[in-house]
Order: sequence, then structure tokens, then C-alpha cells
Amino acid sequence: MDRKLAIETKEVMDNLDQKNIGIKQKEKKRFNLRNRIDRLSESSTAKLYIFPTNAVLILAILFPLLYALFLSLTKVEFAQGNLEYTFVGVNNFLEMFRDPRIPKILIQTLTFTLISVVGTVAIGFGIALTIHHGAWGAGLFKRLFLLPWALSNVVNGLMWQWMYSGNNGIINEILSKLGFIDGYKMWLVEEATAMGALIFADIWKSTPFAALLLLAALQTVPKDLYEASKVDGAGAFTQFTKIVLPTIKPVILVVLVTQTMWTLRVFDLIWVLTQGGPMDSTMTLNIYAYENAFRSFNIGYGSALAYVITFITLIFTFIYIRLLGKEN
Amino acid sequence: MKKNGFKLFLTVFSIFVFLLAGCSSSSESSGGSEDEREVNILYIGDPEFWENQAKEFEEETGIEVNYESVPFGQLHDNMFTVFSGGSSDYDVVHVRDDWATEFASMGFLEPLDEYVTEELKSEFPESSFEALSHDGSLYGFPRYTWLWQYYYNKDVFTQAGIENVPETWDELVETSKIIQEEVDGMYGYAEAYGQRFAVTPFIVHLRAEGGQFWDYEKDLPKFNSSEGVNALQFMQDMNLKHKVLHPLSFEFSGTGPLAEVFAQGQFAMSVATPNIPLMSNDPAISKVTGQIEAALIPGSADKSAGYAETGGMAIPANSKNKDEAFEFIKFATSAEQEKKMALETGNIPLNLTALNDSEVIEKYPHFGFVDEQLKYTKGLFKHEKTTEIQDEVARFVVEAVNGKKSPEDALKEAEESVLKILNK
Repeated sequence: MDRKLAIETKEVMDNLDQKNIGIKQKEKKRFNLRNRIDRLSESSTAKLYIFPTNAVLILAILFPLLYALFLSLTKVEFAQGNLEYTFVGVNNFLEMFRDPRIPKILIQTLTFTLISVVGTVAIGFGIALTIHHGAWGAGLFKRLFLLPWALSNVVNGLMWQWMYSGNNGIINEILSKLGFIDGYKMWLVEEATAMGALIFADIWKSTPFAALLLLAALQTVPKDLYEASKVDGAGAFTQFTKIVLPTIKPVILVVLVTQTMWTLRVFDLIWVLTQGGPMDSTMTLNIYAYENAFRSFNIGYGSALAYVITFITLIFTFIYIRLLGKEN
Repeated sequence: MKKNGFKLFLTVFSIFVFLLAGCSSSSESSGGSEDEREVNILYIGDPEFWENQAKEFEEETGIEVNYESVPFGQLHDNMFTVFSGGSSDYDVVHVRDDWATEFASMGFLEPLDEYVTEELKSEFPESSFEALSHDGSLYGFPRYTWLWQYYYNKDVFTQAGIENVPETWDELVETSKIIQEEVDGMYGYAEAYGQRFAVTPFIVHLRAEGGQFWDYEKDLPKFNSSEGVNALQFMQDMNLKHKVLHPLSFEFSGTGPLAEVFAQGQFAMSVATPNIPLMSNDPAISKVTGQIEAALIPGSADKSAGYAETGGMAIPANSKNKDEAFEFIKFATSAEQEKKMALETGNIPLNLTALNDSEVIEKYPHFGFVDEQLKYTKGLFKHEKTTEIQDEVARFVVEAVNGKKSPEDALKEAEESVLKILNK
């Protein structure tokens, strides 16, 4: 009986030992991983931390980009609620050369973008200089001027829709009171004025951000340079062209590139105000891409149009970098 | 720094996993468990009646209702995005004649034939089921008809000394001219010629001339005809020759914005949807309360010709709660609920008991013309590519009405564009 008990006790002890060995091995393994992570160099540690962000970015940006590229090379049809893809190569891109609406839409996209970007940067520069040199009211203006940029695009669009209204819009009211117009004008439904009205609204929305960046850049210009140039006899214009502009050139480049990218992508404002009308006079590639993809269900062609917007953005960016970025 | 690296890594990694888990759990939860019955509705939110009705259903049945409202103008594109993404988020959606055909042809909607009993059918006009059918199957259950009618401001008529309501479109032009001469600052007439909407008034005029928009047997456009040219010429003349069209007509992206201006008393007549009596009789927004009357839409080749949308509810093919969805549809289209809908929203009910209810007719006198107008009325243009075709034709209609193109050229080019869409 005692012998049997002794054997059972030994078996239990052996099992316990084995369990302890298992736990120790696991702990050793875990500490190895922990030690390995702790032993990583700072740059490797940083890469490790950035990994989750990169993974999200790849999922959220790269995947849609590649999927859109895939769609642009296919004809998408729907059957039994499922999407069916037929590979058509570059046919969707070639279709643009056959589409009679494209030339007008392309010209309008470029017109809208160029005038809007030039207007935004020019007015933004004016505002930045005014605030920087502390003109009268600059302090108050500095606090208020970001408001348009802070508004959501749809709210901005609706606000301008009311202001441009041919029925009771405030713009009509002011202009007619001042005697500039005889009766109320239909700003958004007349071919002659619709594009101008859109560009004006877009400049109003975009200028604060451009002004903010340019103001920050102006504040980085060393005061010593102003003083030294003054001693050398330079006037305000020479200071501006020889000191200010060269110093803030990189920021101007950033402003131009970002504004061009954003203006080419403007959708909400145009959709809310004109939906591309009247008679296609404000139709841009963006609206046309949306119209094709989500109203006409030509998802392949819509994706190809979206890629053309990307190509145009890249071309603009390349031109800006060539023109302004040589020294940087 | 290095000693804390592991803890930091664990923290960052945990947050990442937590975020991913959050994403997946939200999609799983939409399915619901067996015990919890729910129905997810994608519908319009204005007026509040629609959402309140859903709450009433929840209280009565215990089935949880998740209601998402979208402005009507965005509903079509929103639904397409949802459907094409394979989403099963919604169990009940709004459809009308053309959308039912468009979405059913892509397999996005569940056929309702098995759900609808003969007894249920007998409570609604047969034509309302035809409007929401495609290829012999029913894809939407009728809720209301959004019937176009002729509305006029009787006070303006009195001021202008007009005694008779115009019965033809030519008479309408003459009436408009008299109004513009006699009543200061008043326009005679307005229609909605927004960028994508102008095709609808064109169809109304085309039907008045005895023409048809589509040849359904051959699946080909039929609007480029002598009747089509007459209709478009008439629309152009109203604008450029007779100058009786309110200039804001080109700003109206639908009959809602048109009705808002009508309620401000800026023009005397329009052919449009029930938005006009609803807004005009709302003292909070109207300057013409109690001044609006309805009559038969003027005719040309025939005594009258009209246009009506059948609004209904559909169940998406990917819905996970189809039985609950149909339970909601039955509830919302019962005689009691349809009567409530008519009284609170002014929508013309399709449930016959509600349509003939004395209280409903008393509140909305223009419902009295519904029966007669329906005799001359056809539904919306229906096609698998409805939206694309209508958007395309609308562009040319606006160009013609503005005088940029002759009606002949506009219709010829519109036809060519539509044939290209059809690959014919």
C-alpha cells in the first residue's frame, strides 16, 4: 500500500516538474521576443511602431488606387446583384478621344483650376502680406480669415447657392442696390456667369489656407536681411523680389501644388451649385467621372476619367517643381 | 528607451488590433442575432412622418427599426453605391417606377411576388403594381402616387380678370400673357428646367402632343418625332417668343424648388407635383395660402396628358431581414397608415380605402381631380439605363429651350446620343 502511494506521489511530482519546465520554456520564449524587441535599434523600433499606421494607409490608399486602376481597364456590368468585370485594356482611355463632350470638359477643368489657383495664391499672398506688415485691422482679420476654410464643403456650397440665388440672393440684392445690375441675375443658370460664380466661391473657400502658409513663410524671413538690404539701398520692391520671394519659394511651391491638387478635385461645391450645368458650361472631369460611375453606371469609364485627373495633377506638379523647385 | 520599447509596442499594437476589431464587430453586429428582430430602412427624412411611422411600427411589433434618411435628390446615387458595394445594411429602400426597373435589372432587388397575396393586391390599383414591375416580376410595393397636376393661383386670375381655366397649352400661353399685362411683377407660368430635370416637362409636353418617349417593343427612343419637335418648339416659344416662362425655371432642379417660389406668389400657374399645394397651403412658408386651385392638365392632341410617379418600397436582394422588411411594408401600406400619410404629408395614397376616405378628400380638394387626371396619365419612363438616358436627353432639351439649338437638331442629337448609350 505504502509502495503504491510512493509510486503515485512520484508520478505526480514528475508531472509537476514537466509542467514547470513547460512554463519556464514558454517564459524564456516570451522574454526572448521581448528582449529582441527591446534590443532593436531606434530606427527599427520606429519602423515597428509605424507599421500599424502604414498598414492602415496601404489598405485605405493603395488598395483603392489599385482597384480603381483595375476598374479603369475593365467594363463593369451587374448580374444578379454581382459585379462582372470584362477586361477591355485601355479602351476606356481611348473612349475619351471619341467622346465629343471631353474637349469642352477638359478645357473647363483647366480653366477652373488655373484661374482658381492663381486667384487663390494671389489673394492669399495679399492677405499674408497685409497681416505680416500689421496693417490696420490685421489683428482681427488674422482671427477671422480662417473661417471660410473651416466650413465644410457642402455647407460652403449651400451658402453660396443661397447667396447667388436668382430669387432672393444677397449678391443680387447688393449689386442691384448699388446699381451695377438692373434686375436679379441667374448667376448659376446662365452660361456667361456660372463658371465665374463657381471660381469665385472656390477662391473664397481656398484662400485662407494659402494665406496661412504664406504668412508662416513670411515670418521665417530673417529681419537681418531686410536691414542689411536697406543699408545697401534696396527699396521695398527690391526687398520683395530679391529677399522675400527667393526665401519663401519652397512654400509657394507647396501652396501651388496643394491648391492645384485640391482644385482639380473640387466636387462638392460644383455638385451643389450647378451639377455641371447649365448646358455643360461648368462640367469638370470630376463631375463627369462621378456622373459616369454613379449615375450612368459606367464604372470603368468613370474610373478611367478619375485616373486622367490624377495624371493631370502629376503633370502640374512636375511643371511647378521644374519652374520653382530647381534650387531646392 | 529600449527597455520601455516592448511595452510601447504592445500598447500601439493593442490599439491597432482594437481598431480593427471595432471595424469587424460593427459589420458583424448588423446581422443581428436570432432573438433580436430588426429592420434597417433607407428612406427620405422630410417630412418627419416617415420616421415617426417607423417608430410606431417598432412600438407595435417590437421589431427594432434603424432608420437612415437621405435627401431625395441624393437617394438614387446613394442606393447605387450601397448596392454595387454588395452591402446588406438595408432591408427597406424607396423606389419609384424607373429605379425599380434600373435596380431590378442589375439584380439588386428582391422579387416580391411570393410575399404579395391576392388579397393584399386587391387593396391597390393594378396599374401601381405594373409600374413597379420588371420582366414580369414585382420589385416594389406601391405606397403613393406623385401625380402631376395643373395648379393655378385663383386670386391672380381674378386680378387679371380671367374667368376660365385654360384647357389647351395655347390657351395657357394666352392666359399667361394677360396675367403678365394685368398683374404687375407676376409671371404667367414656370416649369422645372434644371440640368437633369428638364426631360420630365418635355415628356409631359410630348404626351400632350400625342407623342411617346420610348418604343418599348423595339427598345428604341421614339421622342425624335414630329410630336417631339412640336413639344420642344412649344417649350422654346414659351421661353423666347412668348416670354411667359419665369426665368427661375432654369434654376429649378425639381418641383420642390419650383413650389417654393410658387408659394412666394411669383408666378400664377404650373404643371407640377403635389409639392405645389403642400407648400402653398403651409402658412409658415407661403404668401398664397388658400389661393391655389387644381384642374386638369391642359391638352393639345388629346384632352389632357399627364405624368405620375409611383412611389414604393423595395427589399434589397442582400437584405438579411426580408421577412421583417415585408412586415414593415405591410404595416406602412395598410389603409390606416396610408390615410395618416395622406393627411400628414399630402401624398396621394394608393391604398384605395385611404384614397376614397372622406376625411382625406375633404382636407385635399385637389385629390378630387386625381381620378380624372389619372385617365390621361402615364407613368415614368422605365429602362435599365433610365438615369443615363434621361440625363442625356435633358441636356439637349435645355439647349433647345434656351435657343442654343433648334428643336429638330436637339432631338436628333439626343437620339444619336441615346442610341450610342444603347450600343445601337
